[in-house]
Formats: sequence, structure tokens, C-alpha cells
Amino acid sequence: MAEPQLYPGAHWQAAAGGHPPEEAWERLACGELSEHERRSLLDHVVDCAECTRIWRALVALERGARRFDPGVPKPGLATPRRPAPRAWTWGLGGALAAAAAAALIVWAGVRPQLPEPPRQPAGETFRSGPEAPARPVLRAPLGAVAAPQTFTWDPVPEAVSYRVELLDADGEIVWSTPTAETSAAWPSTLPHSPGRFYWRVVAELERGGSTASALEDFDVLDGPRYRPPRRRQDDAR
Amino acid sequence: MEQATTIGDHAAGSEAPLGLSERSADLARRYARLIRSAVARVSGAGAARIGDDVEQRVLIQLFRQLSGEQDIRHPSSYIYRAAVRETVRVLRGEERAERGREAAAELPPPGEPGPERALASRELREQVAEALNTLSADRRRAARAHLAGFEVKEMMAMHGWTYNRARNLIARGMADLRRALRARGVDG
Repeated sequence: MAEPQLYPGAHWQAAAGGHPPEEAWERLACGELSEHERRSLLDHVVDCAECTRIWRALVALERGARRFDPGVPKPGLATPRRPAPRAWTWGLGGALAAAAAAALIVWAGVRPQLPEPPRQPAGETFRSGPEAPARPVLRAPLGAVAAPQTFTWDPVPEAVSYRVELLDADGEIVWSTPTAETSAAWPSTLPHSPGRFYWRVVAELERGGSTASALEDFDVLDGPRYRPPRRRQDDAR
Repeated sequence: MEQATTIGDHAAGSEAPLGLSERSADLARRYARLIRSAVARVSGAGAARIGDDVEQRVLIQLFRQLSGEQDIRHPSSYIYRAAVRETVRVLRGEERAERGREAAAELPPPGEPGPERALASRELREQVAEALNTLSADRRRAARAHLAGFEVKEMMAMHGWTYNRARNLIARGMADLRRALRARGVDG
């Protein structure tokens, strides 16, 4: 009996013992797969230990390569393409777009001026738009580190204080501290356990609200193992 | 006597082959180091085996591919593509080598669980698969990835989810899965 096609609708067939061929990985890494192909491949990755390793290695490759090679495509492997509004293409589409633009100019000329959109009230968290504040940019630790001592990040001009959050590999916050500085020492209560951690910095803004950095990860290479705090028996009851 | 220069000779000494720009050669060297590090990172206990020879082999392959092209319009983008292919090849080679080592060591097969346990295990697997299929697409993806041991950040990278969305999908997907399993008489 023929093996079921791994990627129905994709232009390649399952190859290399049921695993995606090199070409498929290359196109995934370069953001060239259709959404259907991409999802099919990733569904296979989740079910296949061998392909999970390849995917993880390619993610590490992409992240590392972005530090020195401007030729790494965007979007890539770890930054999937987001659905974008359909763009006009030149040719007939371009002519239609030009006609629409001309019509808009005429329309704007005869219409009364529209009121300005309401401004964002103070106290809101600004997440987008021209008034959005800069987000904290994390500096260290990133990548693989032996025993990180200090968290450092770039200042946000409007920030009055920051909150550092450290998460374990499962995404649970294991430590958090407020600070007015742009650095914080590694908590003395937390041993440098080998494994992956995530961290981010939330800047509290002068005008109210907050803005958070991207969530970054780092790998602690060596040291005594971290044990999550045990739940007290009282809590379990 | 004039000595012929081959790509392999140059690559073995990390020297760029003739005709390859220093920039491309430098990029290839960086990629070779990066591939070694990326492969070691995912190789678990086998990381110690990923040595200088892997880096050298990759570098030779990258030099060969670069030298074989007459006109590369975007060298760095081309090298990245070549690096992706090399990473896949190295990992598949390591996988084959690992299987070979296991066969050579004549490891005893894992203990038989016994027919009753094997049957129960297979039935449970089937019930979990059926239950997963009742979930909505994103919750199913999140629950399957969670069960397979993927981290939140990995799911974010795979699907373009925000941190909160990934966490919500995992929590809701796992809750739906438990409900679906309970409806099938599986509890615990």
C-alpha cells in the first residue's frame, strides 16, 4: 500500500523515510512555504523526534546568523509570516490604485475636514502608533552563558521604574524584582541551574501604563541545579 | 613542480579557495562554527561528539557550493540557504551514525511490556489521538506540542503566537483534552 502523502497539496512528496526533504527545510527557513505547507511540516515536526532536533537546530542557526549576516531572510523560521492585507500589484492593479488615489483626492477636496481621532488618554498602555514609547531592549544575559551575574537593558526615556521578570523553561515566573536602574543582580536565592531561562523587563511609564521588552532567552551552561519551590502541604489541601 | 590547488586543500586549512571573495569565505567560516554549535545544542548526550571535524566538513561543503556557482547575486543569502541544507545533512548523518553505533553495540531490545499492557497503551494512545482531533485547530496544535515537550517560546516561534496567546492555547487545549478524555471514560 502506498504511504499517505505527508503534505497533501504541497508540491513535494514525503521523502527521506517520511521526513521533509532538505528543500522543504530550506524553504521553511527562508519563509517561502505557503501557510498550508508550513503548518503541515510543523505538525510533522511536533510528532517526529528527529525533525524536532532539525527544527531546533535551524532556529538556533537563524538566531545566531542574524547577529552577523544581513542576508538571513525575514520572515524566517522563527518569525512566521503574518497575514498581511492584500497589496496592489503594478499593471492593472497599479492603474486601479492610481485611479482610486485620484478619486480620494477629489473626494477629500469636497468633503468637510473630518475631526481628529481622539488622543490616547493618559494612564493607558501605549502599544502602537507614533506615540508608542520605546520598549526596553535587553542586553544581557542572552545566548549561552556560564553563570549570569547581572541583567542589563537599555533605558527607556519615559520610564520611572522597571520590573525584571525571570521565567523558567515552562514559562513560570521564578523571580521578579522592581528597580529604578537599568540593571539588576541575579537573585542570590536562585542558583545558576543549567537549562533555559526567559526574561523580560517591564518599564513603568511616567504618564502611566507600561511597556514591556520582548521575551528573550538564555541558556545557563553549568552550575547547581535549580529546584522550583515545593508547594507547601497546606496549599495542596 | 607546480602544486595543484584543490578546494579541499584550502578548506582543510580554513583558507578560502581561489576565486572566492574574502567576505564570502569569512561568512562561510562563521556559518561553519554556528552550525557546529547549533548541532551540538540539540544533540543532547551526543554533543561531545560534535567536534572540529564537523566544522571542517561543513566548511569544505560550503566552500564547494560557493565555488561551484558562477554568479551569486546575494552571497550572504545564498550561504544561509547552503547553511540550512548543511545543518539538515549533519543532523541526519549524526542520526544515522547513532543508529549504527546502537546496532554495533548490539543493545538488547527494550523489555516487552506484556500484551495486556501493550494493548492498554495502544488503546490509550488512540483515545488521546481521537480526543485531540476534537479540539479546535490552534488548541490542538498547542496541546500536541505541549505533550511532545515543546517550550512556550518554541510554540511562539513556530506559529507566530504571542506569549499570552501560546499560554492560553496550551491551558485551554489541555483543559479541552481532559474533558474529551473524560467523556471517553479516561480519567486520571
